[in-house]
This record gives sequence, C-alpha cells and structure tokens, in this order.
Amino acid sequence: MNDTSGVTPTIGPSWSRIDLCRLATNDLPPDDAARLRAAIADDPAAAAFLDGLERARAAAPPFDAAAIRGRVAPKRRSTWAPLLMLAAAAALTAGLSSALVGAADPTTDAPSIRARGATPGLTLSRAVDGRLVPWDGAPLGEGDVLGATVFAPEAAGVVLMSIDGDGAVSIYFGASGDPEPITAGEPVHLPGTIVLDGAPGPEVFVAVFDVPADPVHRGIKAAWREGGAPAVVRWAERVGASSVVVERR
Amino acid sequence: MVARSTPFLVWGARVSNGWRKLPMTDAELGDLYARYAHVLHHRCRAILRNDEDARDAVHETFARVLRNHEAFRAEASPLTWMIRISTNHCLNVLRDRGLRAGKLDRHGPEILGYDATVPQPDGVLLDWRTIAPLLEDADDQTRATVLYTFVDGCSREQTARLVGLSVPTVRKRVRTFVERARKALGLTAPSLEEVG
Repeated sequence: MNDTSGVTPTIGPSWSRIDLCRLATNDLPPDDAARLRAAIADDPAAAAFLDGLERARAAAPPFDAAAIRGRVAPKRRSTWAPLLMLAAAAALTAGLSSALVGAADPTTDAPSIRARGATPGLTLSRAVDGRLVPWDGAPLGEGDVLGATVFAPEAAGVVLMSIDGDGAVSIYFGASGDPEPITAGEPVHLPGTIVLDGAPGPEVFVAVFDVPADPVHRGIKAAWREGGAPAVVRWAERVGASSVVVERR
Repeated sequence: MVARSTPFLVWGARVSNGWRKLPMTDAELGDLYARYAHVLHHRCRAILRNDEDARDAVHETFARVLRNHEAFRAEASPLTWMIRISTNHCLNVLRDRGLRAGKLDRHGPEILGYDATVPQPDGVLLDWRTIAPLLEDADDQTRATVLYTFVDGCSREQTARLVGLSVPTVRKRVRTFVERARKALGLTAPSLEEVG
C-alpha cells in the first residue's frame, strides 16, 4: 500500500470512500489531498467513485433553506398530556367530559388526545404498473401496494398506523415512539410502500399529528374493541386525526 | 465585527470573539449545501435504497448543522461530521422500517411514486444489500461499525473514530459480525487474518 500518512489507509480497496468524499469536497488538508491524489492516480475504482460523486450533483435535492430551517423550529409539544389533565379537571369540577375538546370518550377507554393542526389529511395511493396513483376507494386485496401522503398545516410530525379486521395494529411511521418529522403546510409523500397482507378488512389507516405513538396505539386499539372500524373512525375524528378505511376484497 | 464572507475560513479555528455564536445565515447554509449535499445524498441513497428517504436524510443532516452550528463550525472535517450524523439517521430509518410489521416493502427504486426515477447507484449497493439484512437485530454501534467498515471501506482506526469505540472493540465487533454473516450465508468461518 502506498504511504498515505495523514490519509487513512483502509482494508480492501486502498482508501476509504469517506476519504475520497473528503477529497472531492476539498475537505482534506492540502498535503493529505496531494498524497491521496498521487496514490489513486492509477486506481480505476477510485476514479470511478469520484466520477460517480460528480454525477451525483444532478440527483441531489435542490437547496431549500426554508425546508431545512423548518426542521429546526422548536418542536411543538404534543398537546395530549395537558389536555388530558384539563379533561380530568373539567370532569371533576363540572361533571363534563365529552364537551371538552380532547376529553375522555365516555364509551371507550381510549386515551384522550387532541392532535395539533387544522384540517390535517391522509390520502392513500395505490401502485399500478410500478407507479403510485391516487387510490379510487375500490376494495383492495392481499399483495396490493399502497403509498401514503399526509398534509398538516401546522404539525411537525406524524404517526401512521392501521388496524385490520382482526384488530391487529401495524405501525408504519412513528414506530420508534416519536412522530416522524414532516414539513408542515405541504403534502408529504411518506417514503416506502405498504403491502397489504391477507388479514380481513376493513383496515383503517390513521394519521395522527404531533402525538407520540403510544397513546395513538392504545386509542386505536381501545376504539376498535368498542366498535370495530367505525369506532376507530369516530375516535380519529374526535382527536383531530385523519383516517381512511380500506375495504378488503 | 468579524466578516462572514465564507464559513469555510473558520473551520477548526478557535475564535473567541463570539463569531461562532452567530446563527448560520441562509447564504452560509447554501454554500455548505452546494459543497456537501450531493455527496451526502449519494451515500444515503446507497444505504437506504430509496431516493425520498435519502433526500430526507440530507435535509435532516443540514438541520442538525443548523442546530449545532457552533460545534459544527469548530469541526476540522465538516464532511466527516455530517457523514456521521447522516449515517446515524440512515441506520435509524432502516431500523424503523424493520419495525413496520413486515408490511413496508423495500421496493427500492421501482416504486417511489409520482414519476420518480432513480438511476442505480454504483457499486456500493450490492455489498450493502447483502449486509443490511444481517444487521437487523444488531445494536446501533455494531451496525455503524459494519457500515463504515464494509460499505465505506474504512480502516479499523477510522471506523473507531467515527463510531466512538476503541480499535480493539471495533476489531472484535467486526470479527463477530463476519463470523455470524458467514454462518448465515453458509460460508466457512474466516481466519483471524482474513478478518483483521
């Protein structure tokens, strides 16, 4: 191996791709850069990698300062916890529970939460010939591939789950506990696709904004136990979430 | 008042006049983006095999730059710092995907939706495609160690610096992973010389 002191020698290929990235971005000190350039002069793999990096400029997402700064804005605190306390206090003092936004549902043990953001939305799309197109609402079956788009004017994060006809909950976004960050005020196509399994329907997809996954999970399960898919839809409406019901073939 | 003509003049500089406490302007951020975004995107796409996820990873990395601009400006190698951040993000995304009840398919480029098309990244993918499934139940540091070692081709020393482990620990984790991977792939166990 060539002497590349100052540039980390690596196993396998002579130099790490990170070193080459640093070379491509002028991130290496001049002496190290010169040594690395000399060392890779006859290395076609390194040259190909550097060419690939240069070509990657065209594929990189365009600079959008607002989108980046939007992620840095102080994270909105979920409102479910204080509202839960408010609901409890209201129920204790005035005997009211259902009139208060976010109050506990008298018919279920669903946690009382209230998602942030006016008129948030969830829409599904379906893969047809390898492309996602808006779903027309027709019943779907095992193997059908879905995409999801969410819109929330104010919210900073989304939790997306579904509950099928067996009452099994699947968590697609927010599985780590915290809502998946999204950009407020514009449709956000959630990455990846969902492949329906053979579970019985209907399957209700629910997007909740700025609320941790755990109370959402408990709320959906509790609502489903009380009244199946229609109760889940009602629960979603009550907490300011968006739901879409997919009937199964 | 210190001029802010370019952010690159102060990388690693130990300034005490408060310069580093100034928030990062859009112009500075734009300069950084022009210099580094394509490299980060290329690498994240290779790891995640999904263009949207890769774009998200790039934006999230630059958001972290904004949040930590003081520490970032003091970095001797801004790119290495951003690679470390984006790597952690990508590994979290992969872990999150694995938790989605097996329903979230890893279609990769053919189904990204809304007329997106993605050229196949070069080289790196084949390795990572094989390696990634073997790491699903590994801890974060082991996943990062394997990624830096086998996908980026980093030395044990470089990997140790990036992951924040000692070199002997990196060696041990790499050996353990290789033994496990060979077993899973039905290959014979490697010698210590092979693994390093």
